[in-house]
Amino acid sequence: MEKISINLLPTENTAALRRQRQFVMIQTVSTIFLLVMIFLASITVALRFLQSQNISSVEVKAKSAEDSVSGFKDKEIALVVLKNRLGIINQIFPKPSKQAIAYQQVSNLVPAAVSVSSLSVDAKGTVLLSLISPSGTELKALVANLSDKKNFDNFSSVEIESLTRGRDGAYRASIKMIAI
Amino acid sequence: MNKEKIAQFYSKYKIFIFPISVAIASLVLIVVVIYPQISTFLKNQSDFEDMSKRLQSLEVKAKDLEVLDVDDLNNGLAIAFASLPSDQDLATITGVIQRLATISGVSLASLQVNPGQVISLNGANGFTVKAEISGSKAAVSRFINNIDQSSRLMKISTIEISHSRVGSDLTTALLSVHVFYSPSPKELGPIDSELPQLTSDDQRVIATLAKAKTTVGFTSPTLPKGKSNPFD
Repeated sequence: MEKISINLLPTENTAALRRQRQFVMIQTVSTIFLLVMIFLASITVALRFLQSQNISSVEVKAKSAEDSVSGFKDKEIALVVLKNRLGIINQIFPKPSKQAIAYQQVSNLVPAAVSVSSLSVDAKGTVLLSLISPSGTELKALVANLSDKKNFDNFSSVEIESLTRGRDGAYRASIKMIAI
Repeated sequence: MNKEKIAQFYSKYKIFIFPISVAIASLVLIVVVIYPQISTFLKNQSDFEDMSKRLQSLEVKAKDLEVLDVDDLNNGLAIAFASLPSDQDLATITGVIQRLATISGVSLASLQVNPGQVISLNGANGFTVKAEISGSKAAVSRFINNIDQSSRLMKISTIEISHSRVGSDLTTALLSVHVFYSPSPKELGPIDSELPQLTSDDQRVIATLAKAKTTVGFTSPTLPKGKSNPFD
């Protein structure tokens, strides 16, 4: 036989009780939320406080380090000036000038029997060579030297500007070369 | 009477009033405390990191400066300034070229200094010196090399060579030489700027310049001397 359950309390009481339970639940959740917010606010304030302390500490240390660096100002000036000068020297000093290289190379390529009347190397590296060769053989040797592949890397162009043969059998030539 | 009304009102709507009050209080907390604090914290955190880096670089710089040897620095500076003076230093240059001519074995016929013609190359300024020399082919070649490798920074700019007689070894040369100088830097930069380091290349350059200087300065000339007065 089934049991019959009858609520004898008035229906208003039941509704009031339900509302009260709902309110308690909302109150609990809201209170927890508020506490969390207060906790977060406290944490952020505490963090900021710690951060301010750290910043102050770093500022003090930085001031002390600045004082130390300022104490060595003379050394720093000397080092900066030295480095600056060495930088410039290092760019200019080790490289021989194009003109000196061109002169040395041309001097080495001219056979001993060939007399150089004049040789000029201008600021752009253009070499003008006037020479007298006692015979065609030496002149041929010079042209062969200048046209040699291993020497060709040093000059972008080699040009015989003039070539004449005198009554004495000597060859007079003007050669123009452009050094790279 | 009012209190009773308020109590009644609250009792009736407390289920809404309480959470709304909590929400407003939370919002106020967020707007007034949490957001500004977090925002300032994040901004300060990046500043703090910058300050920490600056502190670190300052400490490293102070330590590096402390161990630097003053004598080495001064020695390096003396060599560097002898090689590349801060001004044209016209008084020295004639002596240097005369000495190079003597060492090379050429005779210095004339020397013309043009301090007004200033050129610029790789951050250095330069003026032109024209030297007329005479000597054997080998001596002229040596002089050209010595000028180019001189510890006093200078480079050959133009060369004009002529022979007085065909087949003669006596060579006359008119050389145009760029002599370099560079004014010292006027500003040191901020205190926390990185300290330049002397590299092995720099040390090598100092050693080479010192060696070249010694060679030019102390080698006793065994070759014919140049003219004592190039304008004679």
